[in-house]
Amino acid sequence: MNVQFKKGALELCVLVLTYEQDRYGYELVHRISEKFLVAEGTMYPLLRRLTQEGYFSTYLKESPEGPSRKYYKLTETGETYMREMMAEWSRFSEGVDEIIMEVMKA
Amino acid sequence: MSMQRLEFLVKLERLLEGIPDSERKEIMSDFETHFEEAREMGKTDEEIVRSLGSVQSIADEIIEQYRPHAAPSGGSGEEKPESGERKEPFQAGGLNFDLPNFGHSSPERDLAYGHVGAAIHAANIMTDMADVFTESYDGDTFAYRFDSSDPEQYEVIEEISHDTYNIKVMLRRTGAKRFFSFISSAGADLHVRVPQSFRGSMRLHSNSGDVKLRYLQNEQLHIQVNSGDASIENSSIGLLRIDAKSGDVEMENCRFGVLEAEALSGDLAMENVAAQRAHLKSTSGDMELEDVEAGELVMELLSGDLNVRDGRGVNWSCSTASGDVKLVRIAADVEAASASGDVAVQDICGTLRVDVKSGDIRCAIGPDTGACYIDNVAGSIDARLASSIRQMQLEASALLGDLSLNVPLLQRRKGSDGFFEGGIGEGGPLVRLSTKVGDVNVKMD
Repeated sequence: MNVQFKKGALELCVLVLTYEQDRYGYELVHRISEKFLVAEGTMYPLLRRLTQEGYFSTYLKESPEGPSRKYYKLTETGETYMREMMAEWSRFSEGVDEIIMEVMKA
Repeated sequence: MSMQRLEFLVKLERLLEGIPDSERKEIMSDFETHFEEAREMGKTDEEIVRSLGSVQSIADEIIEQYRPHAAPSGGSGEEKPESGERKEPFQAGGLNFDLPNFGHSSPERDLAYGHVGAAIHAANIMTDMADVFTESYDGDTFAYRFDSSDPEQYEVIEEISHDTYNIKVMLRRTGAKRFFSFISSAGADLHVRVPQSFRGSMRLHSNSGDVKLRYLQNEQLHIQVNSGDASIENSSIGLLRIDAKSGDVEMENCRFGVLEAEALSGDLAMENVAAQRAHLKSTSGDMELEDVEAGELVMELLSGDLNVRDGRGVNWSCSTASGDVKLVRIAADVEAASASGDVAVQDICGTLRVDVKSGDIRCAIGPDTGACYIDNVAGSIDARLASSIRQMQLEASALLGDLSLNVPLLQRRKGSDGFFEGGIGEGGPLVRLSTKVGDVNVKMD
């Protein structure tokens, strides 16, 4: 898969998952790697970049099992950004679907 | 902690050297947590490292964010990038402690910090005229005990500054004592207990006194001993650097990611030690290695002797100026060079390259020994071939000396005075022995 394309898609997944609720790093990595083959390690730079760009704020919370966890919370800017990306994604995937349908029906 | 995990973390930390300290620490802790969490899910470190992907590409992505132009705009406020330059935590000499408010702190006060071990990412131990004993224990705070028959002579300062634990033992050098302290010093012991959870970097600087470390698991450890011995046992360290000026260095039952050890005038001994990469240096001391595993191993000696028994690895090289070299039972590709020392090798499983200028070379070549290139200039070469060798090609030359071959089954293809080319059977590894001014003796057991 094209690298830039994959990055964008992963970014969107992460944004959507945190929109649902605050999530900690490993949880996000785990949820994503269940669906796609990704180098898990590159998820952390991604989370970091989104944080630096102001789409996430972070806080630490004790976990019952192990070390305390860093949670990512979607900020308002983050939510706006997520909606923009979702709209773009829909346009894109609808376009792809249409082409596939046109060809495969014929 | 497994080697894979250590290696991953150490490599990542190294690659991120250029970014501000606080950022790097946060990233490291993200990854440390990832390991812990994934372990909870029942994964092995090997699986975790594999699914994390390439360390280089992770680091590249992070560094990308620190490029000019890629600077974050309108950040969340959580990040406080420091000046772009990395603050070197230690001065080269190690004596300049960058701590403005060195205050006395009682152990009680330290306990008030709570889970100190988890919040502390670095530890500095500095001593003068005291022996230091450092080991990990089953607790979560750093703790120390200081014993001296004349404690008045010493000043002990313990402090926690941000995420760094500091302890410093100083001799009160006043008046004549300042000059004669080495005579009047009563001697002292400093015991430092390190919480088991501590994985950060530690630096230990002893001006005079021995240093002993046990049961440590650190990302990084830097030991500097000016006059005294250093020993480290049963530890697992990502990156270990030891500099000993006049004392000996001893390592036993240890696992290292990267090991750099230098003994200026003392000896260096290792037993049951594994490292991904090791670089050992000594100026006038000897090196004694037994049961050592190292992917890459470089041993540099000047006038001391080198003695290695039972080693495993990939690429090994050693060099001496005037010391002798003895290598026995090594499974690795080995290169040995000496200017004026003698070189003796036995039971090498791998290729062998020996380069000597004026010493003598003795080598026992077994059925597992690969290609051998043995070169001498002004010394003899004695080669003993194992009787179990069925295939081998031999080239031997003694330009100004005698060439004697006492090997049954050896068939000659070419030859003249002082030169032989032939082999046992067809094919097999090439053994080339050549000297200019000296004899070459080859015999089969």
